[in-house]
Amino acid sequence: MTLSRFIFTLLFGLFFSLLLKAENEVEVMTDTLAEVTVAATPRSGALRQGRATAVTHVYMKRIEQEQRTTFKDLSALVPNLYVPDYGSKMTSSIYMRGLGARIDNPVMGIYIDGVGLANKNGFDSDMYDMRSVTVYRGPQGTLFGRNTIGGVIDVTTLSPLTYQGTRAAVGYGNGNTFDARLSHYHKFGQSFGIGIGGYYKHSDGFFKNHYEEDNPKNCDWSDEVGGRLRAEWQGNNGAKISNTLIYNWVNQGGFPYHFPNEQIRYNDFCGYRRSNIIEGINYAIPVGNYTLSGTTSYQFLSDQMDMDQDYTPMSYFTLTQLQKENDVAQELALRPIKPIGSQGWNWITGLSLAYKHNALSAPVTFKHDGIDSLILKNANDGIATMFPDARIEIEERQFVIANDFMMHNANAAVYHTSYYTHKNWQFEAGLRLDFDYSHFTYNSNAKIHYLFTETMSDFRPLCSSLEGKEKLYYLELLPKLAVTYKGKGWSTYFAVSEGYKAGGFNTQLFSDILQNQMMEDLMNDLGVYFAQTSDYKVSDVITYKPEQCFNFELGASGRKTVGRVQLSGTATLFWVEILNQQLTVFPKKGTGRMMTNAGHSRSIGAELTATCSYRGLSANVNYGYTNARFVKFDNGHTDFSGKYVPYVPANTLSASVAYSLPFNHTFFRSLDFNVNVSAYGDIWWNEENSLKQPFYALLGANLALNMKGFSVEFWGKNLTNTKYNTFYFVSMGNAFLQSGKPITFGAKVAVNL
Amino acid sequence: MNNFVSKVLIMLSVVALCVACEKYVLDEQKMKGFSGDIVVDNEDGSHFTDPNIRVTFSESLKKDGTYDLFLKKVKFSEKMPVRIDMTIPSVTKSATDTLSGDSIVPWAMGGPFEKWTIRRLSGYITYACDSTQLELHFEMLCGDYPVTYHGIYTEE
Repeated sequence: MTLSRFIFTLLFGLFFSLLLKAENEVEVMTDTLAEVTVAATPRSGALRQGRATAVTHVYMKRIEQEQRTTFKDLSALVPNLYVPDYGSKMTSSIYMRGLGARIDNPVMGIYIDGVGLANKNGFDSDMYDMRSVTVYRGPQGTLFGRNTIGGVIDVTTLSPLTYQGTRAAVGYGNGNTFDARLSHYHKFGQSFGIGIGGYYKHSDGFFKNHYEEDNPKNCDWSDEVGGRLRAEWQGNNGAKISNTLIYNWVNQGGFPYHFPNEQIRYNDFCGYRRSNIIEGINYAIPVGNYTLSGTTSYQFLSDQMDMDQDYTPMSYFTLTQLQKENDVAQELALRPIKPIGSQGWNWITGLSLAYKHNALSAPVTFKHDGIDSLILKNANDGIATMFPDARIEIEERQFVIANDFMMHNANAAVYHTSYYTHKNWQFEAGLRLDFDYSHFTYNSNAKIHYLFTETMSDFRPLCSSLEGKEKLYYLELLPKLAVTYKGKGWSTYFAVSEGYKAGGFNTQLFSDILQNQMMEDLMNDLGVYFAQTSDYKVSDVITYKPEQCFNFELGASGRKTVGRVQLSGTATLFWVEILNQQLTVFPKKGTGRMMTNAGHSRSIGAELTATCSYRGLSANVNYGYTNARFVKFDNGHTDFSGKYVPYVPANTLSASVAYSLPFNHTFFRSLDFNVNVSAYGDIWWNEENSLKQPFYALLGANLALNMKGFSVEFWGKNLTNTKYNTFYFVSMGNAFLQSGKPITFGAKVAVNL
Repeated sequence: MNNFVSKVLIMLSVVALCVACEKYVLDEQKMKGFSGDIVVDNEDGSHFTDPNIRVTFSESLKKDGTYDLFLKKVKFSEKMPVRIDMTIPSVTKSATDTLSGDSIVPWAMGGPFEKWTIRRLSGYITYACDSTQLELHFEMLCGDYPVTYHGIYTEE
């Protein structure tokens, strides 16, 4: 969608919402829809009260009206946040303020009811009964530690202590999309409550795989089941305990990648399955004038990804990736009971411990086209120059490169942040000492039988293997300094903070490494040596160090009421220096790729938010601008210094207009209308900055008739059926794209008793 | 007389040298490595030289009284994209350390390589006249190409 079409779309939505405007009283919101932000942890509470950070709050009504059921749906709603929807539910690439990563550690932390999600593979699950989502933008390393250089997403769900009742919904949409959810919240006495709920969602999907020309099949179908049990107890003395248990199961097709201007056509199964259990206990105990609070959590994630890794009708190679991960974490925080922001000194100090055990198996199956093209072709081309009639043959029509990895990761941190408030000024100084240790063992092996026709009459076995272990540990100091001035109805702040993204291991390299080693072993077995040997020295390439970022931020926020019109807005300017940037590079010799700390980039930008409400009408605009460029990045082939960082949208924009028309009727309560636009772009697809997704906008709308105890809703997304791409990458020298979802629409009946 | 004595002394020296060479050559641990140039005569009269090529012998005399000769990571042409290991089996070595062989099918790239059948192999192992360094020299036809090797003993 062009910019002019986008503006037209926006005006179109505004026009219709104004047509529906009426002179009725503002709807009385139920508790579930009230704009209440609940800090799930003392850390997020401190962030909110400290004010020296950019924050976006999204509340339940908007979340449900705009069908924003996963955190991917927060894209653009939060300025400069872009979470492209591609691949599968395993894919959770987050981009924020020019920071981001396609693989490995994320740049944002996600917390649900105070429990931080330990594995990014579990980020993308449908959520329901979200009371609020608060997004803290910019590095939050001082309080939250590693992998929060882009910020923190803090989700709080309905509490059985504040809401009691039954909520249910059944929906149906195009793509044969069906979803149902049911939850019940009950309070036993005054101090204890339980909320339990679950959901099921099915979709046939929207993309067809045309591998079977006469019988194209949907390849992005999905089934998802989940549930949540939340129990809360609150004592008279202020003590609180809450337990959240979340289960999520996903089974889906996926990876609808295609050549540019061509249809999806791959021949091997692509899909993703996941089981995820999150169990967390939050507690807060008053100790004199202080509150000791903590979170103890255990998480288990088991998933399997199957991928036709050539994404073509040819049988090159497939990848299966199975992992089982167990995580335990302990957070403790101590802070005075008086809120931050009250005059004088205040503080929060804490301790964080986490341990992760991950067993990953990632076998790559080379199939006949891959054996012929990727393995034998190069070798035989070389041989043909010497022996035109001779060639190497591999007996197997397919073989497996087994890759088994085991990783232990331990993280320990202590932090302290002090706040000093004097009149209108508040000063903040914080420091975190974060220690991270990882131990990694690997075992890659493959066995084939080969024959050199010139000299051998029988196939000869060839075994290649790589075994070893590596460890990685580092200590990071993560400071934050900020000053805030609070005026009457407005405030402004300046903050400097540091964050880091953990280092890691290049597990995705191993099949490449072993493939190269197999060729080398085969040639050595033949007594043949290439003049140029592979640059893969395992110990040199499998680890990469942490990435650091330094964030300088100037922000302001204000709120004003003029008659019945309520206005609020925020403005933020940021400058982020990203050092030791984790980037994919090419070794100086050889053909593989690897992650290494090769880059330095700089991201400069601005964020603006504005909301306006008048009676039942509310309008909201969120805009983010990012100029993220490489200061230094040489990938071994090309120097990309000065180029835009790929996958980062230069602009994100969301705008919505919502109107609630109340009825003075005992059965019919209100008619709610919402029209919204999310827009992104330009997004450069490659480091050369030769390909990009131009700015595009997606129009959504929702119409809900609310009756006593239930509602009927009609909703739509990408209503103009805008064509856009959500992902681009290069594999085996071929460029691939994933198209964005087409128009989706549906209807829903919701019960709220 | 003096001439006679001189001749005898010279002959004895030669014999002593031969004996020394013989002893040296038969010290199989020290037989292992020579490093030198392979020169291939091309059809157009030009020469291709591949320097620093290591040539070794099998560790012990085989039952048939021959040695295997190993050429390590060798190229025979500028156009060869790879280096190869080549084994020339059953090279005869005389008591005076001369080497010979004919119609030997070498082993390369996993098996017998008939295209490169070795013919008219001849050579010797001796001390260089002007030094105490042990030298290996041989020439042969490798397929149709005349190949010459000249190397000196080096530690691995």
